[in-house]
Amino acid sequence: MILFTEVTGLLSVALAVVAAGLFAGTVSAWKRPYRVAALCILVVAPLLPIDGLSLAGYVRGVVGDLSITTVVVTMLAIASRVFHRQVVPEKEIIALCGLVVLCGTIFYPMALGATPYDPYRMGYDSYCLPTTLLLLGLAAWLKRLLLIVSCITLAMLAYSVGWYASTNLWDYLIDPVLVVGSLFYLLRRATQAVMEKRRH
Amino acid sequence: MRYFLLAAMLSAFAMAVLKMAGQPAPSLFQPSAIQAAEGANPMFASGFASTGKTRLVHAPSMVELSDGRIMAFWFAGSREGAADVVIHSSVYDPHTINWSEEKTVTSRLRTQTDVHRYVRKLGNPVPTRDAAGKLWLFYVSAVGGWSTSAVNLMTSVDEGEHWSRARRLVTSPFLNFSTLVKTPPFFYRDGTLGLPIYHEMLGKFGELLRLDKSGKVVSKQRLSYGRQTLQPLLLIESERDALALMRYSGPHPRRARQVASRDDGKHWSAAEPSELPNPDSAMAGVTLADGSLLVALNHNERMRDELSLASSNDEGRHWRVLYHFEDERQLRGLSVSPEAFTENTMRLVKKTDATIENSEDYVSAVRDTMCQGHPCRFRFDYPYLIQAGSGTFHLLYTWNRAYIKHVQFNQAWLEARRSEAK
Repeated sequence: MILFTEVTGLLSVALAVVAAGLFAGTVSAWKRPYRVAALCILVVAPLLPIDGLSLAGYVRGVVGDLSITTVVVTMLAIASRVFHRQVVPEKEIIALCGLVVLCGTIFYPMALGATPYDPYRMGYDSYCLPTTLLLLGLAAWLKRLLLIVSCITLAMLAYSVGWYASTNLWDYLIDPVLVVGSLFYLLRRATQAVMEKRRH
Repeated sequence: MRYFLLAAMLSAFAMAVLKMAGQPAPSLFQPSAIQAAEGANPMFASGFASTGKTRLVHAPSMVELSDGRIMAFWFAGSREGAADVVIHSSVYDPHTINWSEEKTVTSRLRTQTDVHRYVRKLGNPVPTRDAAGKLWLFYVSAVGGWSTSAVNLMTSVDEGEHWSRARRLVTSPFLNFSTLVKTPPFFYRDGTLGLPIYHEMLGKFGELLRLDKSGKVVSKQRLSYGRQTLQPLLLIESERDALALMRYSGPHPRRARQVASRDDGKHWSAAEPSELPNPDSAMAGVTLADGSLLVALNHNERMRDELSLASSNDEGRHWRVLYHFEDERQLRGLSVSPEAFTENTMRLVKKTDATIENSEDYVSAVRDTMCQGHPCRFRFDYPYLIQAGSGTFHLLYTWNRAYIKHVQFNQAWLEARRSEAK
């Protein structure tokens, strides 16, 4: 009997594999029925066993379970690729990516032992982390950055119900794949902005 | 929509805080309750726990079963890090003085199936037994080098006859990489479990995990930081006091590092050099009923060609060497001929178990592991020491990476060594 947390973990990775598959080719240029068909195939493919383990399982061995924020961002990316729908205004995505990169730049070196203090420990039993998240969420809500509010809310909810095997709130909020992806997104947007400026 | 999100966020915050409030409160340490058996004659015996079925064996550990038998675990395969490495177990019966046939507890493929993710290799196993009699087996697996390790947990409710599916512990924010185990777990007064772990990606430092009775991680604490300390060995001295010794991988002089807590683990002192020399290799130890500390380690700064027993009566400030289980330092720097190495290996086999008549298999196995690509040399490392309920001490260590050696001694033997060392 497979554990619920194994299913959720595998699905989080499968979703990322789907997004990678959709972004790898020219799927966006295909007609809508073909795009939907590609999506269906890509959803099933990562879960099919290869030599006893699914593709998602192989990827999961390296990246672990992806955070709720990554899942939300990945779903938005899939929606934009398959249905050509920009569900969230771009400024909200940029704000989220900026926050993720800033957070990751401070958090990971400390968590990997650069300082005596380990911020990861807060994710187990310190009220400081949910309180900080609430304040951050309220600030984002006032600024109408609802993507950030949604990610914080879903991450705290998932942590509360034990959605993944992790018992640490940080693992629901952020992961290295998200930080690297956000950094690339911001760099790409910055490059595009510079190019556009030059053209004018 | 915007106000719905606000309400949802407030609810999620309340739920997260409630979940955190449900975590176990801090608890006192549970010191060992084993009392020394008095009046017995000195006893010291040794033998091999493994049978040489595989080319490599390494990182032994053990736990006492409810009937006094000792169940040992180690990893075994063609070489360290190979895909064929599996976790073996064997049971020592003190009445028959025999080790059982080696059994495979788990393999890379079984772990991969259990945890639903790719696993490249298996590493150190570490067992314990809780108050309800359930066995817990923590073991390392990795997808690349050891710095990509994570810890898996299996349990057994029938004294190791059958094991549950392995479950992956999530202990690190960076892809769950770089958590390893080597030293024995311990318990807190409230039944939660303390698991000493270490990190070795970019930095090297010791940490302490706390798990609830269901095996969920409830907290994690750093014992040191930086790039030079690993494999913390927790020696619980009382409900509030503990000393952690750590292997040191920095520049010379190589002394094991130590940290201490006087408030049941809430705070730990900064890591400082201990009096124990150690060539960046694993240590094992126990706290005795009289509060003194007993540690098995390579007691020198250079090599793993000797293995000693050291004791401290003053909470780790000063140490005395009581005994050398192995000592081949006389061969250091010498170009030992194959014949001389064979002769020495035969001598060591006989010293371990005088009843072994044909030592050629042992010699051949040792030559295979210890003479590859460099001059032949002896290596005795990765000790694991426990005190059984009867008061007898059991020590396992890797013997030239080809066998697991078992040494046992009692309190009377230890007292005799202490008297000699005075």
